[in-house]
This record gives sequence, structure tokens and C-alpha cells, in this order.
Amino acid sequence: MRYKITDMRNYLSLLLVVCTFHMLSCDRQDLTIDQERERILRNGAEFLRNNYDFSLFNAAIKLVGLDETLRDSEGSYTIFAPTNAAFNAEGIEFPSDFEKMDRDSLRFMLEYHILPTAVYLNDIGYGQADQLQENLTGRYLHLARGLKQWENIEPPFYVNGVESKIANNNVNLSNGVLHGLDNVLKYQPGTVREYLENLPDHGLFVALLKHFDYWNRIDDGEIWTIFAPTDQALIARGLTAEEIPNLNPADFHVDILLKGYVHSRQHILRSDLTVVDHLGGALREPSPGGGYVISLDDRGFSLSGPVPGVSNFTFIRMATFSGINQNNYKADNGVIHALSGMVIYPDEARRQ
Amino acid sequence: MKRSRQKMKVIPYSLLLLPLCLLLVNSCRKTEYRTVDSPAYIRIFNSLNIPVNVVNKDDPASFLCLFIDPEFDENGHPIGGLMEGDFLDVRARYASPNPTHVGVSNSPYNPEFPGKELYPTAPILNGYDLTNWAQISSGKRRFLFMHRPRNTEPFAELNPNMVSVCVDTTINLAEGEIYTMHVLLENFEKKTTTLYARQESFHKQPFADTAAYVNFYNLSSEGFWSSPYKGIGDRGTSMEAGIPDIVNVFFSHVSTTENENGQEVHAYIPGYTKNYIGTLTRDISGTRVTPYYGFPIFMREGETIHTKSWQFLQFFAPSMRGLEQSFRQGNINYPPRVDIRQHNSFYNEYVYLELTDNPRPESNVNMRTPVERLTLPNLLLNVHSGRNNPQTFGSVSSIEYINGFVYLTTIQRTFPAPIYE
Repeated sequence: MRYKITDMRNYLSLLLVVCTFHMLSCDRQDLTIDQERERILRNGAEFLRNNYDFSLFNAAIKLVGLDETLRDSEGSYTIFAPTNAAFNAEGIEFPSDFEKMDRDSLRFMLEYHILPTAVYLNDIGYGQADQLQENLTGRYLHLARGLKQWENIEPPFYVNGVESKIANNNVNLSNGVLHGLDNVLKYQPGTVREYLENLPDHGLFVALLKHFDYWNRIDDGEIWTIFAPTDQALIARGLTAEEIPNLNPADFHVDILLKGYVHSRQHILRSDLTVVDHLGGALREPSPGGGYVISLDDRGFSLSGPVPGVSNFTFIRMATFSGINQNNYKADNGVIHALSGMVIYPDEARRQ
Repeated sequence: MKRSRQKMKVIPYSLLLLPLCLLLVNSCRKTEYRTVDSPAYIRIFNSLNIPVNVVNKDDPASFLCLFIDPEFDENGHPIGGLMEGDFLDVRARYASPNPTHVGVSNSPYNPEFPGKELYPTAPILNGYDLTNWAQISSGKRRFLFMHRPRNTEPFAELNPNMVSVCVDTTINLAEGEIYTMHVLLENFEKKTTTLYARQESFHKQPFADTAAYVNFYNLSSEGFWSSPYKGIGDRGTSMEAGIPDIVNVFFSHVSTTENENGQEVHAYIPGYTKNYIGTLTRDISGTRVTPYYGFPIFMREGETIHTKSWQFLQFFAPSMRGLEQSFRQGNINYPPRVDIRQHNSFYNEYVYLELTDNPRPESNVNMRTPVERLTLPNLLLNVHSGRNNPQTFGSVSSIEYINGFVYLTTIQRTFPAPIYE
């Protein structure tokens, strides 16, 4: 028995020696996975062509000839590609729908979605709202990412307030990176007033602003956020095209009726709820002593503030956003979001 | 048979010797200590402390990468230099006297420079522990601060389009001198930035070991106090409105004892209550060390080693001149929950600050908004030293008020190491 133990010890010693040599003899060359991946990466045009989820975006890209640009192996691009669902929400169902559009406008819209440099998710800061990046049209896109609060959960990533889902972004390409988008980016060169006038569903709101002499307050030299109730919302409160000219501005507290919808010096994107508010940033009109506080959440826009004769400061009402894609309309000096209701009704703002 | 077994025994042991030798050789290390010739000592804070809000969200992040004497690539993008400090975050409220940042955090974000960066630190100078200061060769040095996105990607790997210059300046550092530097917002409206460099003098002043000293700075931006957009600083504390560019500082000392029921009782120390100690003026030129106010360490009755006394600071605008002594807010034992926004008459004119390690429960004043009191650590340091646990030491501290936030930097003299029994 004693001999057996000694034998075992000898074998164990030998095993230790073998193990030591085995460890020391390990070849520690770098793994070559990176090189393998390099070969299978596709360029931007190829990736779009082979991805069913972006077939509408691909059709548009091809139509205006941008696919040649995205095939350029020397270049470096960031493609913010709206999914087919995003185009469907805009009423674009088939590739042929693009053919009805003005080619130059379509090209401008597509170039608005592409940056001439590769911006990976890792390049974007946490808890930062507007990380401006110039796109192919020379305009700036607002990249935002929520605050990282938990180690294993990546906060959402937004472009001009539109979310790019984690499962759909940071796709490596041989000539850049692609981020899928849940909505089409909406931008019109010019002022926020021009954009508002061109939007189909806000004619009555524009008429209301003009009638109460609020339209000229929206100075083109400043930055604005406009929460614009839809025509339907105004009609529901009796503000029809016939009725608005009959209203006498002197009978109303005009600021109470309209101030909540028009905010100067700030351009609030839908994503700012996640990115700015959680950091203690105030989504409010800063006027100490009697300002309105506006709060954004996933549902819409709510207003708190002084109600004459009732309270110094109270929650007033919430107006929900109209549709998932009728917001983040970006002009050169601001943003417009459509609301499906009013926060102060005309009767509540009427002088007693 | 027995012989062969013995042979077997000898062979493995000699074979074992070989890996042991290999491991021995592999474990050798040569340490080259870094030395800095004719050093100056620097400590840098990122004090771009305006929180992100709807008005300023376009601004680059207040998250910096520092290059000292930078080197650039062919595109003019900084790639290194004499010293580099990446992930420089907005400073913490309290800069403690010991190097707390190294080794106790798994975040790469650095609340000060050198902080977590591994550069040779300053030696003990005239008895002061200066491990929070880095050594740097004296002379003209270029300081380049770059804005960078707030994430964990090293600066060198970021897309160069995502970074921008914050401050680029040259400072002449004198040998053996101590500098405290801040990256500051110079003008609140124009959003210009600057590097503030203060040449410290505490190590040259005849300070007593048995007293504590504190001075004050207002490093706020021009136009901050009068801006309608300032109400975004220390929200929910009396600091929200900030303090005017000129304020009078009143200092009180509070003793803490226990009554017969074992409850803590706080009382102003007679003769050291609401003492005017100076006027604080906004100044970001960095050319001046403000006068230190010294006070004795008030030991507890019957004790010579330890005290629980703490300090109460009040900042009054000159417009409140004459009202300071009669100004009452609750009882020092039950500090009030003051929402300064509800006190319109004092908004912008009065701010208080408690310097205590044990913030007390607040009295229940009927206020709609929950408000936290503004508290910073005590200027008297209670630490384990020798056989005394705790022992109270005085410190040399600076209270810096910057754009609605108040910061405390404490420097301690070296003290006998704790003895555990």
C-alpha cells in the first residue's frame, strides 16, 4: 500500500512538470477573429440590398443613385436607415411610391439620413442630448443617448428624437456603420413658421396664432419648440375656420390660452424626456414667480402652472401626442410636435 | 526494485527544479521610478457644473480629456503629451484630504486630476499631505482640455468629430509651488470657458496645529446670478438661487452634547455665534488667495482628544445688512426644511450651509416640495490616529461656490498612523 502511494506521488510530480511545460508552451498569438470578420463585412449598399427590413430605404437610395456612394470602399459613412415600418407610417408602402416624389427632394431627404463619418454607438456619450453631427446635406443631426443607470442595460439611442433600437443599431459595415430608425427623420429647410404652415394638419392652429397676434412673436432669429394641436383638436373645442375670425382677442387671456404651446430658446425633442429630465434638467419655461412647467412623457405633453382665480400653481391638463410619427418635425430654428388635444380650453382663458 | 524506485524519486524532483527556476526567472521585475525635475504641483478640477437642461443641451458635454504639452497627429488631433488625463468628470462636492479616488472605484470617470491617474504625486510639504497634487516639471506648460462624449471609450479611439476644444492655454508654473486649477465657465450667457489657476499659500502661512482654517471663493460665471436660466443648480436646496456676487459670510460653531435621555443636543457656542468673518466677492482671475479664517477646535467638556462640534455658515446679501443677528430659521436642534423658493423675500439674498458629518433629521415644516438641506463634511476631521479612535484634527479648507453648487476642499496635516490593538 505504501509503495502505491509513493508511485502515485511520482506520477503526480510528473504530471505537474508536464502541466508546467504545457502552460509555458502555450502559443499566445492574437486570435484572428477580427481578420475573419473583416472579410465578410459588407459595404453599406450591399447590406441594404440584402436586408428585407430596409427594402424601402434601399429602393429610395437606388432610385436617386446614392447606392454608388454607399458602395465606396474608401469612404466612411453612418447610415441612419428608417425601417420599412417607419416608411409605412408615412404612407409609403411600395418602392414605386418613391417614383412619384420629386427626385431632388427625395435625394435631400436621404442625404439627411447619412453622415460622412462613421459614428459608432461607443462614440456617443451617455446622458447627453444633442451631440451634433453634420450629415451629407451640411445640416446637423442631434444624436442623443440616455443616462447609463445599470451596468448591463444599454440606454436608448436617438437621432433627432427618433429612437434607434438596440437590436437594430451599430451594424458594422466595411465602409462605416448602420443604425436602424423607428421613424423617418423629418426636416424642412427654413424656419419653424414655414414648416408649420406647410404641415397639412395644423392650418387652424396657425390661423389661431395669427388671429391672436402670436404668430409674429415666433421670431425667426430664435430657437423654438412648438406643440401644435391638430385641426381636429381645435374643432373639438369649437375653434373652427369660421369661428376663429369672430373671436375678440381682448376677451381672452391670450398668454394663458397660447403660451404653453410656444416655447422660445429651446428645442425639445421627444427623446429629451429620457436624456435630459432624468438628469434633473427642468423642462420648463424659466420665469421665476409664475412660469408654466411643461412635462413630457411617452404619452404627451402636460402643463402645470397658475390658473387664475383657482390656484397659484397646479397640474392643469395633459394633451397627448398625435400619432407616433407626427412629432420631431425639425426646422432650422426649432421643432414641432403635433398634439391631439388642447391643454387650456378657450372658455378657461376667457376674461370674466 | 527498491533502487529503481529511488531513481524514479530522484528524477521527478530534479525535473521539478526546472519549472521552479523558470518561474523564478519569469517573476523578476525591474522597477524604474519616475522622477520629475524641478517640480511644481498641480491639482485640476472640472468645474463645468451646469446640469443638462433644455436650454443648454446643445452644448458639448462637461466631460473632458486633458493634455499637458500636447502632441498632435497630422490632422491636428491631440494624441498625447507630457501628461494626459482622460475621463475628467465634473468635480465631486467634497475633495477629501486623502487620495480617495485611487483603488476604491471601478469607474474610469475621474472627478479630479490627477485623481485616478498614476502620476507621481507631491511630497509632504511643510507637514501637509499633498498626495492629491501631481508633480509636473515647472516652467511654461500648455494645457489643452478637449470636450469629449461622456462614455468609457478612451479618447484615442473616439471619432474625432465627436470631440472639440474646451480650453487651450499656457501657464507658467513656478518650481515648488502648489496650484489648484479649475476649468470654469467664464460667461454664463456667452458660454466661454477658462482655466483658473490659483497659486496656493497655505503651506507658507504660520498656521497652528491646534486650529482649523477655512477660506472662501466665489468662482461663478459672469452673469450667472442675474440669469433667469440659473435655477437649475443645486435644486431643492437653499443654494438654488445662488449667491450674489458680493455676500457677507457669517460663521457659527455648534457644540454637540447628549442630554440625560441620551439625545443629541446642539447649541451655539457662546462668543462664536454668527461672527462676521469676511466678505466673499466673485473673482475668477485666480490671482488671489483669499484670507483664511482660523478657529479653535472646541473640545467636548472633559475631553482633550475628540469633539463633535460642527460649523454653520450663512451667506447674506449686503441688502440684508443689519438683519443678520436677528435672522432666525427654526432652532439649531431642529433645523428647518426651508424651500427658499417659497421665501420670495430671501430668494437670491440668503443661503446657509451646514458643515457636519452627521446631518440631523429635519423639522417638519409644512412645505409642499421636499427640500434637502445643504450639508458638507465637517472642517474638523475625526480620524483614528495612534491609539485614539477618533481623534479630532484641524484642517485647512477652501469652500468654493460655483454656479449654484458649493464645494469643499480639505487639506490635512500628516498625523500619526493608527495603532490597532
